[in-house]
Amino acid sequence: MKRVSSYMKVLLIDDNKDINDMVCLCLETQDITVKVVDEGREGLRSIKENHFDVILLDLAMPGFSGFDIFKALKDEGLLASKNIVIFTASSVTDNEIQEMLLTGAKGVLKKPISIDDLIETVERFRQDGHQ
Amino acid sequence: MTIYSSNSGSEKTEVLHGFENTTKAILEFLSNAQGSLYICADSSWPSVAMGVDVYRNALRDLFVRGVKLKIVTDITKDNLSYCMEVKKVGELRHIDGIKGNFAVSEREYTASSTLQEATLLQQVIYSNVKEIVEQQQNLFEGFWNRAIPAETRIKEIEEGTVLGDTEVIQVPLKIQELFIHLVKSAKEEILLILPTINAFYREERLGIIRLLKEATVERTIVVRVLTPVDEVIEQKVLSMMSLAVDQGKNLDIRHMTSAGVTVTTVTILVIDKKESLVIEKIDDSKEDFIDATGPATHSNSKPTVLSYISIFESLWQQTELYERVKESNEKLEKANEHLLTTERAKEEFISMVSHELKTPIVPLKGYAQMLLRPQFMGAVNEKQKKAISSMLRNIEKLQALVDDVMDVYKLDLGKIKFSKSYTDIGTLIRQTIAELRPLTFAKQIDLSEGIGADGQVFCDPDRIEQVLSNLIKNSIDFVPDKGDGKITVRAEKDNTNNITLTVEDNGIGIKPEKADKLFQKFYQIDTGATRRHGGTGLGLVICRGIVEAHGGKIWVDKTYKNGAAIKFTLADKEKENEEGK
Repeated sequence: MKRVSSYMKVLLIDDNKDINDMVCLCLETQDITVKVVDEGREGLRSIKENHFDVILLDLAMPGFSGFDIFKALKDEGLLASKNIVIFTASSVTDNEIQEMLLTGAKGVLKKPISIDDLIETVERFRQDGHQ
Repeated sequence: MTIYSSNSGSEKTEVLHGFENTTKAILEFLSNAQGSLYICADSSWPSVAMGVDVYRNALRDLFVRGVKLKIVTDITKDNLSYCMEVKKVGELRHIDGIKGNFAVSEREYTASSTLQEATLLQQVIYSNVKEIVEQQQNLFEGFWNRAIPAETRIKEIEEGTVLGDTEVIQVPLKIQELFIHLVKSAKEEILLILPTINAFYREERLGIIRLLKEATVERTIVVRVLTPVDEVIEQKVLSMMSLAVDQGKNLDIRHMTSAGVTVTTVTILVIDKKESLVIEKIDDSKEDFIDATGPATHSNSKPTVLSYISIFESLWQQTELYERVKESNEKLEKANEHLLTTERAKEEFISMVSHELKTPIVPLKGYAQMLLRPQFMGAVNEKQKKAISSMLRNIEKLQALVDDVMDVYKLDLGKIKFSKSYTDIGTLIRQTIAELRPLTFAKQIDLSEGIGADGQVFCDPDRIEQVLSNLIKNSIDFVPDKGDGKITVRAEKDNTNNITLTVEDNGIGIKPEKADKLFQKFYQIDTGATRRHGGTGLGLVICRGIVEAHGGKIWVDKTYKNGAAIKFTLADKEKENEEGK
């Protein structure tokens, strides 16, 4: 059963195509538009240039990583206005993730996620005012 | 004629001039002597004492009166006959190259500056001031103790073992020429001690270092050098040594100051165990050898040379010892560094493996879950649904295994950070039970609590819940189904205020001999159980790691006979320790 809902736009920054396809299928079925970026610098540019209801941010990416994006946003004072959800398979960075939640990340999804957790986490940010 | 005199009562110090005055004063001094008389004099003295009648008679008179006479002088080939005479009136000892002349009795002191062979004294200092006399007695004592018996020295000279001489050179230019000459003339061995870094540079400018290299490379002379080093010298020394070693030559240069050994203040050169040159420095800051150099002593006297060789060898051995200590320290440092690197590499590897194992599970799990719900990709038939469900179960098992393996390694490395807080133990147990209820409900297992103690425990609630949950899941796997299974979680306080938690069941139980192995990695009670009950074999290892990290312990209660009972404690003192930090 499809929900009657407001328009919602998600930015997914992750370098793994299979994961991106899966997440897109899952969220688009929920009437959520997903823009996918598979590289860090372009990801940061997208975050700055557009509005997204949620940004799913993978941390471990080659080159400009999710950590770098997060730090850049923090340094420029943009964290508060962006709904960053950490989307990571890394298990030894628990402390860093805690730190990020304290500094301004809005949530965390630990891979491998269940689709229920994914949908629930993203839906939390749906704004009723944008019908 | 008295030029200088100071009177204080009967005590006086005066300088006498002219041979008549001096002779008179010396003779009076000798005849006044009672008990003992000490004489310290250079190599000319024996000829004066025994060659001038008045002195010889006065000394013989002392001997007759029973005055104990001790004499230290430089016994040489030339004064040997006079020394044999001196021995007849007193005890004689030898010191190489001794300078100055003084005599001290129990109450009086005289000294003369220079002596000329077999002539009378021209100038004499006299004193009967108590302090001066005592001071000179002590001075003599020092010489006496360092001196060697005349017999030893005379024997050496007679046997021709010592033909050598010791001369003092004052002129720096002469010292410089001699230094270079000696290094060039060496035939078998060169030993050199440089006292300072500046001395190394001065000697290098003088060409000595180059000459040493030539000596070892071209003339196959054994060269050993002790020197303090800075970085530049160290590089030079290393390249010189590797060059010599490559050619099979014998050059060895060792660091001195870093060895913490007592460093000499003089430059010491010993050639072929036959000649020594000891150079004093007057100003170490000077770049030029001539400007920096004070007097030098050149010797080919065997005892002198041997004493410098022994100084060299003892310093050399100290550096050898130091080198060995340094070497083993370096090895230890390297091993330690290697360990640290290994540790870091291990951590990075585990982090990478964890990430790489989990990443492929992400789409597997996501797609499997979506396939089971028609709204994503349409409905599947029953056979497909059964297959996808099996895939999903195994995907989740794989995920659990990865998580468990990571936990074990992180516990091993001490990399799990516990966020401890005051936690109500009753609430924690009820919450854990509530979360596992769906599992026990499906298997109709009676899961209950027996909380005999409530209260706060300082712990990481998520991790303690993980322990309880692991233990309960184990029991679920081993208790009978069809409504007969029973699991109880208990909490009790013991007399030391520690809380003991117990998970007991009415399952197949644990054989006592297997009880201790249970907490080892990949051990299960019977190997077939892994497949039947689906555990990773790591759950109890993780439980032990978490409990021990909380300062508690975990064990199998062997007295429990109705099934299995595993207990663990949460120490109250842990809280105090944490607070104390």
